[in-house]
Amino acid sequence: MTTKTGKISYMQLGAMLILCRIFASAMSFPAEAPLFGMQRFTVIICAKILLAAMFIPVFFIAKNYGGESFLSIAAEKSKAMGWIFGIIYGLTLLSMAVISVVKFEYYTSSTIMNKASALLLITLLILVSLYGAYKGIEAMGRAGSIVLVVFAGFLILMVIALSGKMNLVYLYGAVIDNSETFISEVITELSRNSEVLLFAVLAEYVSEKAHRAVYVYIAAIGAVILVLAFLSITVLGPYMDSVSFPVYTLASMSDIVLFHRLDGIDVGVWVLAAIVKVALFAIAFETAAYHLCGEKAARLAPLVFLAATGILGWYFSENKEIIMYAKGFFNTGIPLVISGFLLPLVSLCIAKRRRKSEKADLFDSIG
Amino acid sequence: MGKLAADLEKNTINIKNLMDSSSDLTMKFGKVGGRKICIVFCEGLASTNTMADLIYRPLNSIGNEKEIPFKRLVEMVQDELLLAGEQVTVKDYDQLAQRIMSGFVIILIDGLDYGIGVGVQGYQARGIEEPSTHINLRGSREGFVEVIRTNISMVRRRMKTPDLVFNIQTIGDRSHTDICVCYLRDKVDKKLLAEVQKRIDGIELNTILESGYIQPFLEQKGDILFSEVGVTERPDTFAAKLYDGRVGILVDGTPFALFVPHLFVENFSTIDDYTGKPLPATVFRLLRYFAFVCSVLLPGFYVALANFNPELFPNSLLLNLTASIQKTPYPLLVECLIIHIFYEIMREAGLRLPQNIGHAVSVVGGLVIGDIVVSAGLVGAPLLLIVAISGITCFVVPDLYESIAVMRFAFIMAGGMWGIFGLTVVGMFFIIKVCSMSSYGIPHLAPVAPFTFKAMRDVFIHAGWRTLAKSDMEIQKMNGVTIDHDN
Repeated sequence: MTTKTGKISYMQLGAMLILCRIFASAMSFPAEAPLFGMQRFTVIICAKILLAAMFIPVFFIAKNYGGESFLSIAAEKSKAMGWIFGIIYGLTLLSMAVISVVKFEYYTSSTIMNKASALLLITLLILVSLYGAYKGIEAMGRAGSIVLVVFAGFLILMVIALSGKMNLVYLYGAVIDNSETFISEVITELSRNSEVLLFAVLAEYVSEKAHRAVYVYIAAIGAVILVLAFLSITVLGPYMDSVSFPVYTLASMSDIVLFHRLDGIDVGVWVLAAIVKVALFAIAFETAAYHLCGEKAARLAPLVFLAATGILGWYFSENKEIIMYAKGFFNTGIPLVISGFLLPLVSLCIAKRRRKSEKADLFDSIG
Repeated sequence: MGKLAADLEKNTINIKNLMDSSSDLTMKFGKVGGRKICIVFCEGLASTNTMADLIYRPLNSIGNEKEIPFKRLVEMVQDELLLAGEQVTVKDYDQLAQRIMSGFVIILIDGLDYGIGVGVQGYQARGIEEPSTHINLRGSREGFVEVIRTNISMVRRRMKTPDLVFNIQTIGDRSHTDICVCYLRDKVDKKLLAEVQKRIDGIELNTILESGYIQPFLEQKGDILFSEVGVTERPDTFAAKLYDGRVGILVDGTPFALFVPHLFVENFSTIDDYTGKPLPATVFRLLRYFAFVCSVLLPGFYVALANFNPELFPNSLLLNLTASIQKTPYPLLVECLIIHIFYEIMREAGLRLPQNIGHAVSVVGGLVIGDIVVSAGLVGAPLLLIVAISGITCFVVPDLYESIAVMRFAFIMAGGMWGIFGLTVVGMFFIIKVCSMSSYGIPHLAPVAPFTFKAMRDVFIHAGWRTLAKSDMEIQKMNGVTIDHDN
């Protein structure tokens, strides 16, 4: 059971997840400069294969137990288990949301809003996200689809504008000379996929065939990230490790007829994506709260969640060294594996056992 | 005041009291078949010629030479002599008052405890003219008028099918305004129709003088910027909407008809799209979308870029802009707001004044003031150009004019205070707002979000009648429609 009657299609959920993931790529910190050359593609492909594996529990919950989430299954099994799962999930969500907000603030203030205060940037972001969260998943699903179309237009424009600046010489052989770096890159790439957390809960809002959102998400995200990587490598080449935000740099190098540079549009796209992402975190938190605390408490959940995100985001944006440590921990992928893979796996086992016993009961009653 | 009595004198006194002997109340006393009768009507609302043909002449034909038994007299008057299209029995005073004020004549016979009402409406009304809004190049020149029955006939003339149903009702405790709910029986969703009727029943207004009075009751609460109810002055557009499975509402006293649900994308199509070739129709429709974006965003975008990120302008343009901005005394945001406020004032002045003076206001406002403020150095020429472009482009989508004006101010403020970041945040606010709107279970942004591929043949493009004729696309068949539970 969900808090709101609103339903979305799997395409809308897929579109929102794609946006969230691309946002994470665009907001990468300077320290995250990846390997370039063909190695980068290998990293992306390996990470996507691992990502697909990570989606297995939530995928099967969505496919076989439509309308339920790993939290509702756990809460139904035992209240205590539901609470434990819920707290771990909620904390992971909050951490991810705070990191997204800090990254966003850093990105915006480093690019076109140099003089703006962190408080202003975060407050505006949080306010519109709160509005979106209260308008519900249906509104955000539709808005997310529109934003994705805007992003697609931006990407096409950028590819056209940069086509003359690509240098294929930077695409040299994919010889992986340093396995340690390679593995760390794959894990970092994987850890950016907080969407598994969102899918784990938001799938219950999908009217039918929620699992198909995973196909859409993984296929599209793989393609888009490969395109972005191709652009970054062929245009920036070895300078990639010296730029803070490769996508922004690419946009600012674009020169297309009326638009002298596309970095203004780039910022616009990521602001839209940031709002969708933060609002989705809030809706996911609200849904989790609903399963654990009931409808009344759930109504307040987005407000509490976003207030906490805003305050922590503001604090950490003023103290970036702390968030860098935290990010180091999140880059290991451990929180994501626990909340996005292990907990749903436990719930999947519980659900399977429950169905088995229901079947047995049915046979007994017929017998 | 209760029911009519069998005593004619008592009835006439009560009627006079009920209407406080109002000057337009006319009571004509006479004798027919040896019995006293009274003909009651409102002056100016009933046609004297029709009254002569339908009432006086038949009644006079009975004569007074011999006394006719009461029962036979009533039978003659009610069933044999009066052969009007609309004939009703009036049993109480409220009903009587309502009927005479709708152009009926009531015949009261001494000894009869009810009145015989005959519809002889003949009030003066404006003739059918070309609509003042939604002007078209090709197609019908007829627009709705203020008389509901004329409007009904105009719709019926365009849809000669027994499936077209008109359901006339009276609302408004004081005005007793006739409204007519129209739909195609085989196309409309029954739940949609029931919901519209429920909302009409919930209207608690005393007086309804225009369809705009009931429009908010047909919308969802809190929709203060965009309307989920369509408005049209054109019978052909109205008929086309009914054909899509919508419910139409005609209101007596106004040429503006309503229809629900109304989708956002409908603001961008005109009747000319359907009468011309598909390719030009597509091009012009896309131009309308572009004009809408320009109108809403252009001033805000200009202020944002010029204030915060001038480096995003091409170099040659940047030099000109910088020169013009440096010449003006006010900050760009203030300058832009002032010029927009004056623009809106001039528009209002031109709109409310008689047409000839309105033109003069446009000339004085547009040419004289515009030229002087630039040469005096109060406003930069580029900004004036931006305002002019955004002003013209918003007339391309006239149905959204008010919404555009409000959004434009919001974008100017956001762009001036927070640059591109502010523009995007406010833009997302409006996107979420429109995306959250859903009228009668049909998303306001359908068929774009949620996306319905089949409907795309008539959204951003116009595929032409050969394609459209292959299959119908009823509004309730689009993706994301949940008429069942989103009312």
